[in-house]
Amino acid sequence: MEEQIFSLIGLYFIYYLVIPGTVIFIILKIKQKRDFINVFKTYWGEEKEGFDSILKENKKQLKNLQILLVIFILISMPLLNVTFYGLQDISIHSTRFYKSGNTIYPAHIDLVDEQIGPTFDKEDAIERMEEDIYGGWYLDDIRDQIDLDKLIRSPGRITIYKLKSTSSHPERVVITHAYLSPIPITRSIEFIVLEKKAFLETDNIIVYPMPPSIAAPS
Amino acid sequence: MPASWKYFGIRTLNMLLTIFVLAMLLSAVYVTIEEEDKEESINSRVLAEIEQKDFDDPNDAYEYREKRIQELKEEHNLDEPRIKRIFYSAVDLVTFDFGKSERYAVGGGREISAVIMAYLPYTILLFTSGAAIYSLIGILIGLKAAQFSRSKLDKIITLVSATSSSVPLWWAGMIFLVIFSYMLGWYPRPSPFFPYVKDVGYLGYIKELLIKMSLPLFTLILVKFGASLWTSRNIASRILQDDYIMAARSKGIPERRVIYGHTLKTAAPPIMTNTILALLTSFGGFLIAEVVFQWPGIGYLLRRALFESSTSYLTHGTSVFEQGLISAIVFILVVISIIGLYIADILYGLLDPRIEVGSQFSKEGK
Repeated sequence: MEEQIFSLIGLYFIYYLVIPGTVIFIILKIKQKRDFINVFKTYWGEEKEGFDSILKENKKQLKNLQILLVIFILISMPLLNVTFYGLQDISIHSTRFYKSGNTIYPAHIDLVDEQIGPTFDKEDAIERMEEDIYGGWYLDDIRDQIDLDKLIRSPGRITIYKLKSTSSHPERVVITHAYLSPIPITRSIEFIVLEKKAFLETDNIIVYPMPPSIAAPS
Repeated sequence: MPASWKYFGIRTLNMLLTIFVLAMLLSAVYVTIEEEDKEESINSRVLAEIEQKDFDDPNDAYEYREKRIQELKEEHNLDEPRIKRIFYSAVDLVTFDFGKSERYAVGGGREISAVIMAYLPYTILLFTSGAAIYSLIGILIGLKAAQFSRSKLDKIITLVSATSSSVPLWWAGMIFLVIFSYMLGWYPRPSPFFPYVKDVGYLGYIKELLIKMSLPLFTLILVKFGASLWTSRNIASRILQDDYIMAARSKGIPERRVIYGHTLKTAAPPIMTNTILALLTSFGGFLIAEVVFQWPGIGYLLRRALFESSTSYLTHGTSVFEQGLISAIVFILVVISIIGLYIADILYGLLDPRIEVGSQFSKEGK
């Protein structure tokens, strides 16, 4: 569990600091370079002899920075998505939980009982839910309350978790659907199970920069 | 309007605004933790009720759950918007209406202000009087060291003060406890309990208090006087090199008057700020030191409010620490600091006329 906590901290570091920080840094550098070029042009003009090489050099550096920004944004989009999925998965697997004798610092326990996915083959995931009649995925109840077919049709990755019951919550089924998009967008649907029937509890859409832990029920 | 009134008005407004912002921030933290705690306990309670009722129809169970959760949320005011709850909580804080302590471990359901008032006098008695003593000793020895700057005495004093101020109070406390209590047996074993006045009489109670106070007070003075000494020495030795001090000395003014009159008067504002800050921080006690000496002050209370919930969990099934008491202690300590800094600011203006002159210059745009 401790390893998961370290991964959680590391991924949050990338998610909130490294990626946005690098983008902001490059944008500030571009702004700085652009300001320099503008001031240079105002004072010395475009054609001033002896200075055109400096201007050319700076224009080249500006172009390089702009290309770097575009490349970094292109790389950071999948990276951001992967980080988001990782954070969301770890958050569900390490739920904060107060144990007796250790009430100040909540323990992190794994409430996940069973799991299908993460997978891009959503039809297969649903088939596995249907097949596992003894596992009790409450597929019919879920179908009655949300448009599962529409969810399957939209591109993305699905994970279905079954959470153990605790002193404050009954058994739960959580479906997370991460959409294929440049920035992370995930739909998290939580069902509670009462007397062997699933009821819709929450239906959240989590978009960057919202914390992915919202997908994990407490 | 005189410039001094404007200075006073701005400082007062600034202080009141700071206190309110602080109350809002503390309330935001308090309301968030409280909400999480209450929702958890509401969910547990409703789940237990459902299990007890043993519904045949799941829809009935779900309807019951939704209804009960809503009822309990209304009962605990959780249905109100969060910002409204934060505002009300902040108003309660600034009006010193802290409510009652929840845990039996700390306070036993009494008014929080009463619980704090039961512990605060012990902190004031030990740490505030200690702060006054070590500040005074520090100033007097610091002035002496400045008077004989670069002499052997100055070097010894500087070394002692540097060593003293770099030792953590709790560590020195532990060492002294081992030596004086456990090895030599001169000091009683640490315990937060005092005998009842009706059993030992007033004199017996005071005797017990003084005995228990002796070692923490001695440790506090020994560890803390260095910083005060160091500040006073540095400020005074710089002032002693000024031309007007040389002029005073050349006029034949007695050295005693030069040091305690001319020098101390000029050095007063920064020394006074340090002393006021030392006195103010003393109100919070020294958390670890109070725990080491088992001294029943504010720091000891804060530690109990933070850590003794684990026992209350077992007896009462509640999981989160005494948030109301923690918020109240933090709020009171910070308010004392803010008011102290405000007083220091005002006194600074009175002691150092240049501050007022400065404000006039800035007003006239010079």
